[in-house]
Amino acid sequence: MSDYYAVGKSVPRVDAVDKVTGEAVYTADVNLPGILYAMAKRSPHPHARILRIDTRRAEALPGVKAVITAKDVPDILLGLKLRDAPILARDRVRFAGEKVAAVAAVDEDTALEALGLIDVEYEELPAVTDVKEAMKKGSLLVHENLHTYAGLPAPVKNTNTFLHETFSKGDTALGFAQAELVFEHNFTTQAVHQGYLEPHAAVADIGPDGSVTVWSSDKVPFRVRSLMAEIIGLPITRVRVIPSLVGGDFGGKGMIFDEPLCYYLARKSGRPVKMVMSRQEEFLAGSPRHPSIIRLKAGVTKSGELVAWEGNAIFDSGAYAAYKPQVGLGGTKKLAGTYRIPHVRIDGSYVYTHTVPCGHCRAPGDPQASFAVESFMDMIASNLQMDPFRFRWINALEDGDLSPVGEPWKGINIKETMTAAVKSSGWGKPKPNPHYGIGIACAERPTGTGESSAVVIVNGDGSVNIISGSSDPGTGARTILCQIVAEVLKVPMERISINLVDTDSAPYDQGAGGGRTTFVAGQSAYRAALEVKKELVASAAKLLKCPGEQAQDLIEVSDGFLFMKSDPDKKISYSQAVKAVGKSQLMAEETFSCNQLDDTCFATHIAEVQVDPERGYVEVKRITAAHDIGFAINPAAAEGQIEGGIVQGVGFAILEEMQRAEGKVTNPTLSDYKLCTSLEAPEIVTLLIEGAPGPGPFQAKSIGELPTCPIAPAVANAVFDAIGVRITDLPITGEKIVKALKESGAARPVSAAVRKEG
Amino acid sequence: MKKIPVTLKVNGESYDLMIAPYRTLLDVLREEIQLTGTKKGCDVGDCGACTVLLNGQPVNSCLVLAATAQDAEIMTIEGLAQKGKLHPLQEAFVKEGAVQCGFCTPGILISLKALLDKNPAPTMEEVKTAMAGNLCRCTGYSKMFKAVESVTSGLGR
Amino acid sequence: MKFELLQPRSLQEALEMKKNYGDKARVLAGGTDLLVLLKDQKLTAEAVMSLAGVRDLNFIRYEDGRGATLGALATHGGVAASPIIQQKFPDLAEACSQVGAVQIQNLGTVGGNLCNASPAADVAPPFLLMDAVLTLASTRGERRVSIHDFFQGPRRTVLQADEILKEIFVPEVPGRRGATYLKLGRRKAMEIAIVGIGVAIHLNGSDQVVSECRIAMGSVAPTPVRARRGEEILRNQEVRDELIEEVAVVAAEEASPISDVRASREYRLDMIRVLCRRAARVALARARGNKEEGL
Repeated sequence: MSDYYAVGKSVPRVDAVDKVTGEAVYTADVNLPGILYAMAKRSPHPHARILRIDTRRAEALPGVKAVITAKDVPDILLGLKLRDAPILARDRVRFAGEKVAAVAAVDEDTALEALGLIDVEYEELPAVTDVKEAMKKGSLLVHENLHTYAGLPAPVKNTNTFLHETFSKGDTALGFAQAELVFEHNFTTQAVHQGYLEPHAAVADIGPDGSVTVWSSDKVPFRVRSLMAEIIGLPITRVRVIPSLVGGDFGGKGMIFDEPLCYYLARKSGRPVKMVMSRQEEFLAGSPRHPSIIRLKAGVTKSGELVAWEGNAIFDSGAYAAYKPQVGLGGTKKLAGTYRIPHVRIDGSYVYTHTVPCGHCRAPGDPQASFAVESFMDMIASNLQMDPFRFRWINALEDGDLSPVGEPWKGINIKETMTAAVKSSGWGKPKPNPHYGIGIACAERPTGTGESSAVVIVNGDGSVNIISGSSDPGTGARTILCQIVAEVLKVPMERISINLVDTDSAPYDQGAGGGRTTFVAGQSAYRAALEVKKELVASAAKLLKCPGEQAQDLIEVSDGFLFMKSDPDKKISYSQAVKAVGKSQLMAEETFSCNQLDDTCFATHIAEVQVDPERGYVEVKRITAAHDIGFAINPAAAEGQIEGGIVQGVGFAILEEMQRAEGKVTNPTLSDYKLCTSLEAPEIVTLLIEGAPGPGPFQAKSIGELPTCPIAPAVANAVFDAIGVRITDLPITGEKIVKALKESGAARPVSAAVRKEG
Repeated sequence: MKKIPVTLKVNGESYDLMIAPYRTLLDVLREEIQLTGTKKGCDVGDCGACTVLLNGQPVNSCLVLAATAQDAEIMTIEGLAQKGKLHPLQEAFVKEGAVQCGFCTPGILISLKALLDKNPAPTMEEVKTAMAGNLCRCTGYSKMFKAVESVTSGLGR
Repeated sequence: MKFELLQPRSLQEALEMKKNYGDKARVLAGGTDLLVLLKDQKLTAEAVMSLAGVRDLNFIRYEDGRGATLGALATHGGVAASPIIQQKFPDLAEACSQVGAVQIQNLGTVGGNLCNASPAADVAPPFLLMDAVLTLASTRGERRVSIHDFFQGPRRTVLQADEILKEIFVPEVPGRRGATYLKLGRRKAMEIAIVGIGVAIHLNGSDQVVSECRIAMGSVAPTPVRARRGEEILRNQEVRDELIEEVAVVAAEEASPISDVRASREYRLDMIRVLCRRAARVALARARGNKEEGL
């Protein structure tokens, strides 16, 4: 790895200096002359008919420049796949927090005052806010016309369950018959917010010719463009989206939010309009992680071999499914973990309720499934009196195995991560005190697919520009694209530039998400760089008098120069090579598209916790995280993804919960919705396991989403190890621990389990 | 509401402004003086993204009325680098990979600058306590701790 | 959030304004509570009177043998960092150091924390332990009110429409005092107390006999309260583990917590017992001058 020129190195991010000096521009920082500030009026009811909206008093308030309601916007439904969400509620509101009107005014305080002057008359209707109630036959329907919606994967009618998926392998009836022991348990997980620090923001400006410019915190500018063009009824050429830096995403910034409202307010007022969601609005009407109810059943032999497995998940989708690009979530498939089980049957249901619509949140569906599966594995191991590591080890998949649901998986590397984590953490070491616990969990998540293009330009002075429409919501993606191109062309990083470019100036890109950028955008940049290198070599071949047909083999590049391997002293600079072909620059463009991939990634996390049984307080002391990453193009960036994912996972495990009562979020502040502070952050030992071939350039695999998956079960398992109670309902609060301890008798110090490494 | 004259001293420069009396320092910095490096993450003192120095002390600028900061020395992230030279904390954040999305970064750097001004060789516990009012969702804080350590190591302890 | 802003330059000017505006003007000290309530539209105000210009209310004064006086505008950060407060009233220093985080501590004031009258106010339990006396000023003159008579309910105090809290006096007690404030939150910072417990132990002569025990509780009743029945159990008693346990149990009986988004009533009752027991042990160890604070 030391042989590499630019990859495999923790080079600073290309945007780091802008970010540490306050120069970096995010959407809310966009100030245009005459800009208006907009806010939305939201429903206080989870379900109601809108009888009347009177905006006259708001319109009369000095400083108010435009007020819009559903009658001012097109009567269409939006969605990333299933189209079920209106731009503004028309005759019905389906969750507390749904937008019914919007105001643009000269400042935010005036806009806020105007919201109070909009009179909305509702007829409150009964609401179905409990997912199990919503699933019952004859339940009140959240969407009566579901069957007419576009994007429904299979026709369903008169139900709140808009999607039901099943996956299977073998014959579970046979499998359970073969099992010597059968276990079954239920798990529940809570709604959590992505917690990005930058709230959603949008700005719209309409040119004199009617063309539209949009600034957006959305991480997929090209989708903002196509949706906006469709809504407004303009060709794509008349809508330009200018991406700003994105202040955190974690899946929550992939769907348009207020961009259409900005546009219609701008049209009505004749001025540019900015809309930034408040933190409270983020909680009331963001697109949080789905709460879930998961039932697992496993059949094992007395010696601990898994023979049959059933998983059933219910995901509470809230009032709309619009925020999910695949209608369902990948998580359902993960309900049998990373184990070799001959007979598996899994099913997942996605259900409407009159609550906040849920969306994508870092590894959509996986943290829920992982919590259930990996907690369950420990519960079974405990019952078998087996070490939890050992139980996993004897059942873990190996390369060549099919996935639990029968899919071909490439490069199964789970055992390497297990070994590394166990060795590093000192699994099995004596407890430093009775209420100290250690827990293990494994997880898998595939590298994402999609479409990206990149243009690589070698300028007349030998410096290099990359033009890519990919986005970087903080992951380091743009830096990694530079490193890839720097490696191919052997050009120093400081001579490579990649800028944020608008949708008119870059080729199409599917945007960040699903752990795809390093692979997909990376491949496009890698291939474009190879192409342009070929042209450089061809030009140099003439100058070096190297036979054309062998030039690609005989000529090498280094530090911006080309030379014959046989005569390294005779160098041609990139600048000379460009000029020699009579052009000002050499350029190549590559589109890379991949829709199906068998490559996947693995991780093992080990959590160490200290529990205060009297208060139920859990302190996560240390996480050891071993990740199968293929190759780390930027190790510091990869570690950063892992560390951030872990701390987010700790929040999911013990702190975070969007509490709800009668369908309304009752803790919509960052005071009562608790992200980890610096004082909650555990010590993190990151182990990058390289070597398994990944699909990305230089064999890289993805890393963005997986780190957040195994944390909650690792912590739950460690808590069990510490105090002998098992919490199967996230988050693991002090209150739940104290209650569980009371129910189980006194806080009993757990006997130190004898552990051996497999 | 009648606007009132207010003079703010920000990063050593004086700004004569006419502002509504209820506007916060955060909004005035961002919208009137165009110093948008200070971020609004919650507007109610829960996230720390808006941290600025008020007479050398870190405060949430969303909880300060601009008019009441009339006589104070205010420092924002834009004032941290001196004459184009990055502050050692800025350099360390760049070098250690302590910056991801960057939205919390200005506030955290300001909090840490205040700490190091007062206590050039803090313990890790003191560093964590100084940062506890600044939420970060991307980094898990690890690389930030490392960056601070790289600045303070060699200063005793 | 829209209002007229009053900016008095002296206490006298502030009192005049308050007399003229009465309830129409809300007093802005640090702003960490008031501005949040105004922004959330949980409160409205025609006028806000900022005390930022009233410099002479930000002080900490100590008179040996008599006690300490804190200006109403003394900040949490200032109090927490004060060596004399740390030494004489560690419970107050601990409470101030656990309010929010650094930024909030630099803005928020002890006077504001009391006048906001949240049941969860962190500085209230220590002041209750100390029998603090508050000086309320108006153009009519000054009056002194015991902290025990100050709170009337959630966000309600005895402050009249024309009055401003000027300063807080905490008397020094004879003998050896050990005290602590323990706060339960789900995180280590940026928390509103689920339960906050202050305990002070006074020793006269023997290390074994408690001359007085005081217990104050936050977030467990409509106002911060003392647990008088629990206190009686240890008065003039020789310390035994069973007695401390009994104190904790009785203190919990004196509380009337509610269930809310932060915790259930049941958990709060459990935590009163746990924190009370732990705080009593720390307070006792401190009164004895022990470094080891036997948690």
